[in-house]
Amino acid sequence: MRTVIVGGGRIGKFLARELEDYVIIEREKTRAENLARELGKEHVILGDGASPEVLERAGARQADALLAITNQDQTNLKVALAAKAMGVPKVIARCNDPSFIEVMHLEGVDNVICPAQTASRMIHSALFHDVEDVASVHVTKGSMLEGVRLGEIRSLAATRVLGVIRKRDILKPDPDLVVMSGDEVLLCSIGGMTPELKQLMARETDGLIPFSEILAVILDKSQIETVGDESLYLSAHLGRLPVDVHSPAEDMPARMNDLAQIWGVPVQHSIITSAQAMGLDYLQHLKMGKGTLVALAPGEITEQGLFKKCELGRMLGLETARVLLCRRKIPYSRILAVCDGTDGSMDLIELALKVAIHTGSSLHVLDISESEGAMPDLENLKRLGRNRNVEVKDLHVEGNPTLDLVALVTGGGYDLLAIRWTCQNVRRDILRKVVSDSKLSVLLVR
Amino acid sequence: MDEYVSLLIVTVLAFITPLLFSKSRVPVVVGEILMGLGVGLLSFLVFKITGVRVIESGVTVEVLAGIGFIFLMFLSGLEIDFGKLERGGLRTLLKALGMLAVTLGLTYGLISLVDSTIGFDIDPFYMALILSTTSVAVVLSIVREMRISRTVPGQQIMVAALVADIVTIIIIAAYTINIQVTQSQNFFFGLEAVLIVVMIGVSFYLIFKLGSLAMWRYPEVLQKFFKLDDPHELGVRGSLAIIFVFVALSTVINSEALAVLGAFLAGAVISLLFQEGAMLGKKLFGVGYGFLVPIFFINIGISFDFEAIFSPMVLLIPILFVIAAVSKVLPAMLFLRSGSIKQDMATGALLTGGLTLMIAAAQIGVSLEIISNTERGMIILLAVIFSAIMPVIFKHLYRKEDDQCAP
Repeated sequence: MRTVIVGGGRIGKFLARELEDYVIIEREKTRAENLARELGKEHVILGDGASPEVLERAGARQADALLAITNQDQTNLKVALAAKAMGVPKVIARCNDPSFIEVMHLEGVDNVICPAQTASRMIHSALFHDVEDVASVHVTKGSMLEGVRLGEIRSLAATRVLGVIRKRDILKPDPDLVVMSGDEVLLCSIGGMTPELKQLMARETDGLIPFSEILAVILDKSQIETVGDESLYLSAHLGRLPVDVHSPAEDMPARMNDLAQIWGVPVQHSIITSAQAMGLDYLQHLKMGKGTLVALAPGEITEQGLFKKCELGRMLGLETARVLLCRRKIPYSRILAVCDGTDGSMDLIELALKVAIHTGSSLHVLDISESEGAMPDLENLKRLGRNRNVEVKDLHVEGNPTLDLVALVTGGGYDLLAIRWTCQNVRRDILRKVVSDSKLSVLLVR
Repeated sequence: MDEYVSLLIVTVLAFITPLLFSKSRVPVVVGEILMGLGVGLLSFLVFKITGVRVIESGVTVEVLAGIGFIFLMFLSGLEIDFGKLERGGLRTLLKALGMLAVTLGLTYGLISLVDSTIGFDIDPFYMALILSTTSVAVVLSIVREMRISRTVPGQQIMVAALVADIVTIIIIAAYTINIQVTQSQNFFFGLEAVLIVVMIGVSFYLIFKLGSLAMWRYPEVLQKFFKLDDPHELGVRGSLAIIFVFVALSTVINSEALAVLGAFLAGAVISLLFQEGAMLGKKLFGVGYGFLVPIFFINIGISFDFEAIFSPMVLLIPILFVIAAVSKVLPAMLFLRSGSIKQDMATGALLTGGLTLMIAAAQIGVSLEIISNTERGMIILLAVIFSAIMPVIFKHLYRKEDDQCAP
């Protein structure tokens, strides 16, 4: 099989070693001379591969295949078109810029290979199908990889570290390089995923569980269908988190037990007094960990004047509080998260993203921050989402943040809103109205 | 002088001033006044030598400067960040109110002392009000420039400036209306004034309530007001209408102070309603600071009474400077107690002197004959000196590394 290779770089040289009847066209004199020394003069032609005369000289008309693999996409396109015009049966072009692939196809080049796209597919495949030998681990806050040296990862996962993507830079895999939260570590294990690497990947996925337990406050039977069902739905999608049902009833309501069985979620029952149920201020005194999600019915907030007494505000004043106001908008298919540029909102978006990853919903991030330009932390989170197959969309404020938020909440078709209780750049009274009067479930953090 | 020639002079000065002052530490508005003073001085000297007035503000410039003044007060109201006031919390707000009360008391006491000792014929309370003002625009720009807007001291400075701005303008309006009512000696005029003040209050409340309702019910409609590409510029038109609702109400009793307060409230209600309406804000700032406001400031310089410099009243400048500085620095040290005297002094210095409000109050004072033209000239010079010097002193004294982040 006669093959013409245009471009004598590393790929060209590597391919040549795999072939018998071939010729390489190289434009650069020194490189052509080196190739000639290494592969033999008969296999190398000095000249511009896009020129029909040079292609003729290389015997392209008689060739079975032509590979256009220079670093220049435009050159590869020209070479491929010239080869097609000469009637070469199989023409393959390399495309370095993924956005140029479509152009090549439109120009009539059928076989286009994009190294960046291929590598990304391999990484994706390794992550989700365990069949390839390349994996990407996104390091989140509290991850077991955070603060670990690359040298240690090598022994930990019995694998090679290809590199680290930090913000927009690709760092060399120096054994002493310390992994930070937000980094993406590219790992490679020869001969498939090692058990250690699989274990590492599984533990990192566990690290993407946003909460450690759900505390569902159910004050009467009507709330079983809202608070109860939504808590169980979340638990089922977050690795069957334990659900602690707080209710004034002495026995767990039968309907709640039925639902728990349907969802296959472990549930336990804690009895609260009627006074506690009325005020809900007892929640402040519970020793809740940072991972506890308190699920409540929003109806209680307005009817019992929680806002007036500021109980919710007080509760959300706690560093650890994460509150879900349930309106049974399940399953979640669209989540709206609001970024006001603070560290708190980054944590919130991370929570929302983790919920989106596990529930299979899309995540739209409304950026209402005053900062100009991209925020690296936000960009990292979006990349994590995209790597985990979550559709992450940016929404930018066109004129007024409060108005844009209200318009999205009232008419955007979202199921869950994730927002900070102390969100900046939004009118506070309107924010309270959004939380108490909107029709979607709301995930609130401080 | 032809109307359009005076307009040409003013607009050319408005154009070149930012170019000349952009690299200096002097705020551009101060530059505008200085440019106006330069032209005014030239005209004054030519008049002294030849007896001919070569440069005069014509009727057109005077009218545009008047609208510029109203617009400036509107923009001052628009610049109030109610979100910052709310986020600062009650403690910060009370500290700011305490600082203002002590400042007002101290200034009043010191001016009364000077008045009784030297014998200047000035209204001590009105002068105390003028010296208690703060320039919110200068404070906000310096705080942003120093990147301390999210620190505890930075937020305290901003809240103190906002509170001083709002409270002094309300007291100035109330005080001057009271003077008007007393001067008129007419019961019905007093009744009318009360009625108009109530109507302004009710209008403010209604606009806020209806606006809030519309924000919740019809956000898509209101979004049009903030769009960059709205060909009808609905936001700008609506804002202008709101300004003149308040200003027209105040003209019923012919009160300039109430017109100033009205314009300020118009800005405040828009800011309160929409808080971060960046695009509309930019458009309104464009209309104001791009055309009308520079005309007002340059005209102040051109129409400055240079005879005042040669009067004994010029002694007022250093005296009032010291009184204002002491009255701001001491309360800052008393209430803020940041642990660093230098830091508290820096804060006091930055809060000293409100460029716009000082000039506005001087203008109102002249129209009510509480202060003379000469005193007005002194106050303008003092405002210029404050705005040029105090930010530099603040930057020199303030130590950024001591800051702690606000929650």
